[in-house]
Amino acid sequence: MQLAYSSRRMALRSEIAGEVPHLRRFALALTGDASLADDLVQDCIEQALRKQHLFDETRKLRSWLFAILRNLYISGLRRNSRGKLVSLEIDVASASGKLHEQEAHLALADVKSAIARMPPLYREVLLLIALEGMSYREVSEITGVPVGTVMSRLARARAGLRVLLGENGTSGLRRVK
Amino acid sequence: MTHPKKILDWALHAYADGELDDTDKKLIEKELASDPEARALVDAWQRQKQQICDAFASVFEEPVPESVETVLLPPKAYLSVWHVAAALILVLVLGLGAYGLGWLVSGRDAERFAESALSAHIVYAFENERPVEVPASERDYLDRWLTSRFGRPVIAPDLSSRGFAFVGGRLLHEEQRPAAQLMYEDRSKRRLTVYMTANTTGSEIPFRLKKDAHLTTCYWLDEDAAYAVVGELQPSELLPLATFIHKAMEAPKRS
Repeated sequence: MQLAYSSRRMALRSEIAGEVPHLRRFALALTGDASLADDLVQDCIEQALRKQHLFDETRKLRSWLFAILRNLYISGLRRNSRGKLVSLEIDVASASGKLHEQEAHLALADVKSAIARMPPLYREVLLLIALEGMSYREVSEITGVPVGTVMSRLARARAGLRVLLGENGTSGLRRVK
Repeated sequence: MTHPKKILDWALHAYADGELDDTDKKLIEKELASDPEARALVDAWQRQKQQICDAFASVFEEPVPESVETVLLPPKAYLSVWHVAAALILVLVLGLGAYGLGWLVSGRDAERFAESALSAHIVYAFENERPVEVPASERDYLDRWLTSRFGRPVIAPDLSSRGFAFVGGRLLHEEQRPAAQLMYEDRSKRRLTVYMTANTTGSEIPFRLKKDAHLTTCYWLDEDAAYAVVGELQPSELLPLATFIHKAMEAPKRS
């Protein structure tokens, strides 16, 4: 009655299970909401299992899963902005400006709310590097942007976070070219 | 950047994130020694990193929600209402409940198995006199013994690359079946045990985590054997070890 289940496929399930804590942490930090995060992780795993034939085994499983999760999150954001895809891009372009405006309201904000206030495309880069310790190359593969873009988003995210956390001083606002 | 002598900010970021090779790293370190402003920036970023990690660290301590675990179960565990109804009818008509609902039992069996692994860990891992029956020096004998007991090639995994030295093994029993406990120890004498027995449930279960006070257990059932890894470690430390052991256990089976 039961179909034999190949041990290679089983192995992938176990390996994915081993990545679940990392996926949950990344999803929580991205969304700032525990139940949204778990929905995202669930969708991510479902998609990974559905598309497991596409997994390139020379690649790190974690990078592949993170890319799936990240794409689900970003496409969800784009859907929710009802076709205004540009708004996300504008957010990115004017992010440092926006972060500085918020400074006054957020003198003593904690890290979590500061991260939540960051534009998504900056947030993901900072999280992948600070939280997951990923290399710039890995982040570039996951987010689908060149390494240079990863670096400039990272620099802006870090400067922005310093402002949001009330770490004032000129060094925090040092221009990044 | 206004000052011509200031190091490029990008190089500073790359330095802070360990992206530079040794030559460039030394170069930046030399610069940092004479540039307190740059030093303060790098320090601030390191602090941020730590703050971000601290802010989300608790996720690793939480149990994995059931909804996520369910997605990871092999397809046969997904049952529609019709499957359940059909199974119930089958049970009523044939009275073969125990067999027909074997998959239902496997989850509880796995939990019971994890309990045994935990008890065995508590009993022997804190033992100083004679923690193992077969010491690491008789490893060949142990591997032969495991192989004959499990009816397939089994080799005690080598965890030295992960900082755990092999201490030895012990024969135990799980219900009526033989079970083995392999013991490892790191430099600070923290012990890790791998507990294994044949999988008679007919089901496979991917990694599950259980935390009891200081001890974390990670267990899984593959097609022939049930495994549990127990240690006085955080789940975030134990999981990579369990993944490593899982792979090591798969390897001799394939060859």
